[in-house]
This record gives sequence, C-alpha cells and structure tokens, in this order.
Amino acid sequence: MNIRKTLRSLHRDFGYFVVGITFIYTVSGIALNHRQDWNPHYSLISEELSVPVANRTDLTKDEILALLDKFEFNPLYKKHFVTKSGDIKVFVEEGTVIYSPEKGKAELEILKKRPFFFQINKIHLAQTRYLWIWISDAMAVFLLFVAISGLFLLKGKYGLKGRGLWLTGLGFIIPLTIILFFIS
Amino acid sequence: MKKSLILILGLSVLLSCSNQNKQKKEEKKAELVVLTVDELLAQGKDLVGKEVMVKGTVTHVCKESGARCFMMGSTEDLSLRIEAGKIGSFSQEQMGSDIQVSGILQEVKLEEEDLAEMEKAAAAGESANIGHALGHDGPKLHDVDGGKHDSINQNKKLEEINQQLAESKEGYVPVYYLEGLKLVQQK
Repeated sequence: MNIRKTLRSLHRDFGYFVVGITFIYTVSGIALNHRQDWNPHYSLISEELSVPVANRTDLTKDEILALLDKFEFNPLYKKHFVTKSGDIKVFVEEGTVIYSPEKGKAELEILKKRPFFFQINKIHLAQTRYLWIWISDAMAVFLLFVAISGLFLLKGKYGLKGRGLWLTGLGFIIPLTIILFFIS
Repeated sequence: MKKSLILILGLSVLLSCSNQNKQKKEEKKAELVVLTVDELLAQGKDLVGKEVMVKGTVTHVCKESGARCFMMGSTEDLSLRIEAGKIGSFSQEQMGSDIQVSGILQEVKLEEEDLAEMEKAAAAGESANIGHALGHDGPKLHDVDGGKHDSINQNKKLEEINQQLAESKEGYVPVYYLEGLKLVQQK
C-alpha cells in the first residue's frame, strides 16, 4: 500500500467534506472578531416617543397597550413592571419599552436577529445542545487531519523539506509571537 | 473514496451513540421541587453546589451572545443570574417570558477587598461588575447595540452591597447564580 497515495485520497475527500463547515467558521469568525464595532447577532431598532408628563405609575394593561399603539413599530405587549427608579419597564416581543411618566418619554428598543449571522454565530460558539458539539468536534478532527496530511503530500523543494517548512514555520510563529508578547 | 466514507460514517455513528447514552442518563434524574427566585435566594446558603429548579421572569438577556440571563423574583431587587452552561444560550425573545430552569447553584462571596476593588474601578469610570455581582453589565459594554435600557447605576448598587456587608455576620455578601443545565419550560 502506498501511504502517500492513501493520504492524498483521504486529504482530498476530507477536504471536500469540511468546506461547508470551514466556510461557516471563517465567516462567523470574522463577524465575531469585530463584536466591539457591531453586534454580530442582533440589529437594533429604536424609537422614542414624547407623551404628556404624568405622575402615576399604576398603569393598567390597557393603558400600556394604548401607549404601545403610538409607536410606529407597533410592538407586541408581553408584560410590565414598575422599576425602583419610577419608570415602567414594558416587555414586548423582541425588546423592551422604558416609559418614564415623569419625563413624558417612552423609548423602544427592539433587537432583531441578523439572518444567517445569528445562526452561524450560534454554531461557531457551540451555543447549541449536545449534538452539534459532537458534530463540530468530529469536524475539527477532520480539519486537523486535512491540515496535517497536507504537510506530507509533496516531496522535494515544495514539500516539507523546502518551502513547506518555511511557510509552516511562519504559520506557527505568528500566533506564538502574539501569545509571547501580548498575552500575559 | 470508499475508505473516506467508511471513516466519516464510523465516526458519526460512534459520536451519536455516546450522545444518546448521555441523554438517557439525564432523563433518569429525579424530579426537583420548583422554587421561585425569592425562595431560592432565601435558601441559597443551604443549596450551594446542589441541583435546583427555579422559575421566574426573564428581565435581561446578555446581548452579546445570550451566554447568561437574569431572572426576576417578586421585586426588582430579587434577581438571579443564570449562566447558560449546558442550555447553550438564551435569546432576546425570552425577555419578559416566564421560564423554568434547572441548574447547579453557585455562590460568589463578596468580601471587603472585592468591594474596595470594585469601588476603585467605579471611581475610574470602569465597569465594577466583578462576577456580575451588580447585575447585568453596564451600558459601556453595549455601546454598539444601544443598550440604553440596560444601564445600571453601579455606584448605587455598590452602596447597597456595602450596606449589606456592614450588616453581614459572615463578613461577606453572598451573590448566587445558577450554572444552567436545562431549560424545562417557557411561556
């Protein structure tokens, strides 16, 4: 049995097999890397209303519904309670409304799932039940195999004894430098 | 091709078998008494490290990834942090919903040194929320997604904890949280 030939076949087939998951992990990886600049999971919709100043907080559900009707977004009521600071916090589908009777102001914040990104980020962060965790472990093993087998596919100056060695070394040096100098 | 397929299928079967065994083991667990947030916090000291079941209204879900949520009891002051753990994650849709969760109760003991450190951070205008002891994160962490509704007055919270510490016989303020195991019910 020719080991290099077998390795090449497995490298090729496993390589095809992991394309999908590599795509998911890399795209969501970029999205998550920049989470200080944007929320990769949700997009924000906000709306502010000016209403007459009032001094009572014991609003009925119907009165809250009447307030919600004034928003253009038309939020759907779930429940509400009065906070210690005297505001009324209303839970609506996908968000909240903070109504300050004393200030005569009501603010709506809705967080909508970003299609595609929300799902692939969940997968990337393994925020799922067990099944996906096992699948992603298996995929990681396949990916590792593809990476390691790739080292031994070529002979000669383009193989691990030549250019391959330099490029592989560089791939290790970059993260190691960050670890040594920037991560205590 | 054949070899590759056999390897891929073999590994998948192996993993799915071990997963099924794990799920069966979980189903065998004895049923737990469902506690309200108020009851759980009142009995917290005796329940640390044990599996408990708690129900309440979700008042906040971590916006970044749903890694944790906060559940409210009968008042705003009675709140419990739930780390998603084995539940995976919480979602913004659960805000305002009544949920029932099982998990292991954990305790963070806030001592004088912790409070001094927190006050120092607060004075420097930084987040003083060590171990989420003050509740959910402050508005600074939500700059990119609004977060006006998530503001916490950390100075006021620190004052309250200082008061509790002064009255404490043990010399610390316990902050309880749940390491989530299962989301049992939601409505």
